[in-house]
Amino acid sequence: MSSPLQLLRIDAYGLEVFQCHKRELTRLASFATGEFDRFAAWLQTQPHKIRYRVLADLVDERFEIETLPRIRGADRRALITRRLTNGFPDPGYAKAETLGIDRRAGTEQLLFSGLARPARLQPWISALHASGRTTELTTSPSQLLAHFLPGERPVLTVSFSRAGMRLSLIEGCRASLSRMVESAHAEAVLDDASWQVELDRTLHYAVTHRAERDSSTPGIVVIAPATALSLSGAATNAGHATPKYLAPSALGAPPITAAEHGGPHVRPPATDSSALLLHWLNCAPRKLGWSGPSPGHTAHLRLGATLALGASALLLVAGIGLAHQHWHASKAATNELAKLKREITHLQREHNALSAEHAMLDARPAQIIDTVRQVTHERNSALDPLALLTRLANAFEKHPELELQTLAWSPLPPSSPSHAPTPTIARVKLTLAPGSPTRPNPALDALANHLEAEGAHDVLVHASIDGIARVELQLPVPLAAEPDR
Amino acid sequence: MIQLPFAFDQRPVASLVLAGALSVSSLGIVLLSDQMRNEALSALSAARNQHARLSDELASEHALAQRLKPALIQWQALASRGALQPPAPAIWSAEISRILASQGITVVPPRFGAPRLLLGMSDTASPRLMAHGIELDLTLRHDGRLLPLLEALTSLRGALVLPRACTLTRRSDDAVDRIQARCQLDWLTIALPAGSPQR
Repeated sequence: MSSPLQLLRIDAYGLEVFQCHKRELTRLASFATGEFDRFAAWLQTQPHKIRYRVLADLVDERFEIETLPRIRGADRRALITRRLTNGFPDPGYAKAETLGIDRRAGTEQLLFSGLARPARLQPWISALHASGRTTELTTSPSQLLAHFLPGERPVLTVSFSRAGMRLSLIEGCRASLSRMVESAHAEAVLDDASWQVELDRTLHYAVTHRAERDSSTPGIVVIAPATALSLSGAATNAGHATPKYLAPSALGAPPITAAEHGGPHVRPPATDSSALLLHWLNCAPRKLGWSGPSPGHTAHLRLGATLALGASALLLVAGIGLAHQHWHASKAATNELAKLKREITHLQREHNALSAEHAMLDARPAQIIDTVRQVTHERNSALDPLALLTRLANAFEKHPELELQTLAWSPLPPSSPSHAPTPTIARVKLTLAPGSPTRPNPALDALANHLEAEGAHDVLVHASIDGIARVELQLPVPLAAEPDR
Repeated sequence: MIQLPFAFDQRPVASLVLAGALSVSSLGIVLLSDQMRNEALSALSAARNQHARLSDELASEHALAQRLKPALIQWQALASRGALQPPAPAIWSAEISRILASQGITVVPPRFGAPRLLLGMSDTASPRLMAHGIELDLTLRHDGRLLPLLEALTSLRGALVLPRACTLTRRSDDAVDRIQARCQLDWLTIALPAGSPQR
């Protein structure tokens, strides 16, 4: 469902607001020329979703036909824009239409049309834009007539409104001339036939103007019932076509009511074609008419504000997304931190318990370990006399003929100053009184063999002339059992 | 909407103000959340470092405790023997004389030499293993008396007594005491570092 549409009719007397509903026009408000502030205030009371169409029923609509070099694309658009800018005060209220292309000559014939004095229209449009509204169509009566009254042959149409008599030359689907006679308004022509003089004058001008292109005489269509018009037989189109009279109601003009006065029907003169034009304005396609004024500062500001609002909304969404990621990471870090802190507390408790346990010791744990290692080393370097003597006794029991004179044992001295004595090796020195000191002595050799059988090595036997034999050997001795373990 | 004395469309301005507020809010939200995240990550990093340090320390202490357990058994054994008591050479000499006398050996009361500080125990902040050497020159009726004598000496309390070397010499057959014995022994004690609990 489309939003409601309001029709604005602007002429030299002011602005009227209409709404078309079920083939009936309702005049919602009217403002005299200069009541722009009142119009702006009234607009503030209207819903924002309303669409607006404007009918500019003003004088000085200019039409110019020009033949330009045939070019295409951006160059053509630039040329037309430059021509509209130079030829019309506001190119927003002007347009260019192609009339034909001469391929052989390489030229294009263009019709430039628009308002020569848009200053009367501009304050109303500015008030409309300032209130945040836009117009979807701005056009003139001649454009509506050309669109809704097309014909194969040129026609000079005559229509009346409170602004005056409008004479529009329609060729095909476009108007090529439009003239407003303000004195011959719809009310005046009821009893004043001078409008026919203006018609003849305009027709003469149109014929002369068109003579270069077409020698035919345009037809005449008067949008008013002949019975309502004041006619003068003597002045009626001498030598030209007979006018064709069409009543606005016959063309579909709806009745008009005035909402601001409680709803009674507004009774315009039967000659007034405003209702018909408004009805056509209501039905006209959007592409009909002018592009409208270039956006002003307010429009730029509004567009910028809209863009800024959109950008900031996107920024907010992106910011929230980024912040969500940050918060997610922060929450994960906080959870992990809490878990780590619990573990740290547990570790610290365990560490404190161990420290308290170690504080009860005689020395630091490492010192105790080192001291005990040193004590073990010293204990291992000491020989167990029982184990040593037992091994020696085992050997000597088998040789009672050998008499032991001296026995000395000591730990094997270190092979180098840096090494501690080997703990389990005893260096043993014996002196014996054998029966015969001569060599070879079988008893000494047997003793040496038995000692080697007990594990001795490096056994050296020395016999001397005094009858004493000296024996040196190295004997591994098992470590003494530690009574304190 | 505020009424102004001139025609002025306030909605674009309101939109711009709203856009500015939204932008500032977005920036504030991002900055605040970023600060929160950085603070949380910083605290987490510090906690991780502390956790790693504590874990390493505790692992080292556990490993040390494993090595300490058997050492402590020996340490307690040394303490029960009195090896952790201050050295008392005079008492030790009296004990030696008493043992020799109980075995019918008369000898000049032995004297201990100057204590030796064993390797690796030079500082007073750590336990010091001290060796007090003594050399006994004895005459025994027969060689079978030596082992009980050494057994009695090494069983003395107050130190860890270690026999180092011995030389036995047979005397003339007509002597009452037929064996001359000269033995070197060490009395090992451990001096505790200052400040340690007194035993």
